[in-house]
Amino acid sequence: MKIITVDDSSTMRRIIKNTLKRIGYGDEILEAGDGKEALDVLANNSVDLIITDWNMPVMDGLTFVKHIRADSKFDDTPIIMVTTEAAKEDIITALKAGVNNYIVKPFTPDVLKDKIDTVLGKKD
Amino acid sequence: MSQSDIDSLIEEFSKAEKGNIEDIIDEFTQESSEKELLKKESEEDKQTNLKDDGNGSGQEKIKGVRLPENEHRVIDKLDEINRESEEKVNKLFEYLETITDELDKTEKLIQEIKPYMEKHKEFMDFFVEHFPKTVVKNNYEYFKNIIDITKDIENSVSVIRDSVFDAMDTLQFQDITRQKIERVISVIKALHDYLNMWFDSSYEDKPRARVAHTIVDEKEKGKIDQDVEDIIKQMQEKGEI
Repeated sequence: MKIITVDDSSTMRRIIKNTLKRIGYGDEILEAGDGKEALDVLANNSVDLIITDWNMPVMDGLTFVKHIRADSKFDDTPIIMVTTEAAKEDIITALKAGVNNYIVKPFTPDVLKDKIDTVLGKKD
Repeated sequence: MSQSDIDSLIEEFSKAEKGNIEDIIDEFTQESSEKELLKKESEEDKQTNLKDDGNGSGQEKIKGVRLPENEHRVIDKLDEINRESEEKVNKLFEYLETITDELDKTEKLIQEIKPYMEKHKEFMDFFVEHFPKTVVKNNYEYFKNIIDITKDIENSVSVIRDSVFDAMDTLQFQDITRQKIERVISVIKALHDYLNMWFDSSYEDKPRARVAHTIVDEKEKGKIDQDVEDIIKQMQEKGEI
């Protein structure tokens, strides 16, 4: 399982990486500090799952998701947004843009595992 | 000519009688020239007054008032706080990872010696059962103590690991606090931009993340998580996602 985590906070990237290892999804984890950097990484790598923040400089998470969804190469790649944004309209905007699931920070390992299992179809 | 000047000119044009148009043009040309001249003078004045205080400190002055040094400017200071706290939290994370690595090693060692201890216990069980009056019985009691201590160590390792993981999860609050500070910075920037209109100063800014609209209160987190689930379910039922 190859996963990319996109967040401008190096602390959050570290926490997500560590949590992924703990819940059994830590085989290979790529990192990017913003949406543009993530697109550059994904130009040369394929991944099984994208975990992205929303509020980032240079290219925010929503724009990044729209870029990803506009590329047929990523049609089957699930995206989970992990963000502080908790307003209903923001959640709907993200889901409509192509996000498969949504997590509000701070999250627990159980929540992350549950959401990953859901988007990967490992859960009913 | 600014957009407001152009708008005023268009408005005057639409109101004016045809004969007055030339007068309006003359009047506006003169006004614009005066404005341009005033602006130029203001720029020159600013350049004259924005200079080093002469004592080699590199500190700038406007109209004789000493400006705060860079490290005391609020936005720079807040950025520095964010940067430092992120660095320290990453350092803290490294320490926590070292602890978990050592716990992994300890746990591995315990798992390695466990089969030997089990075998040894079986052996001693046999001896105590068949030769109850030998010295083995005393050693057997010591050995049972060692087994109990090993179990205690194993439990402690598990408790320490859980605590370290909880500590790691708690470090998410650094990111949330950082975003709260970013919100404060955005308010200061808005205030700066407003004042900028009047005082015509400038601030070189770096590209910033969009400021978080909502940052969840810890007490509301359970409800928010449930709301997210409900929204996803509703949208799935409606076929919107």
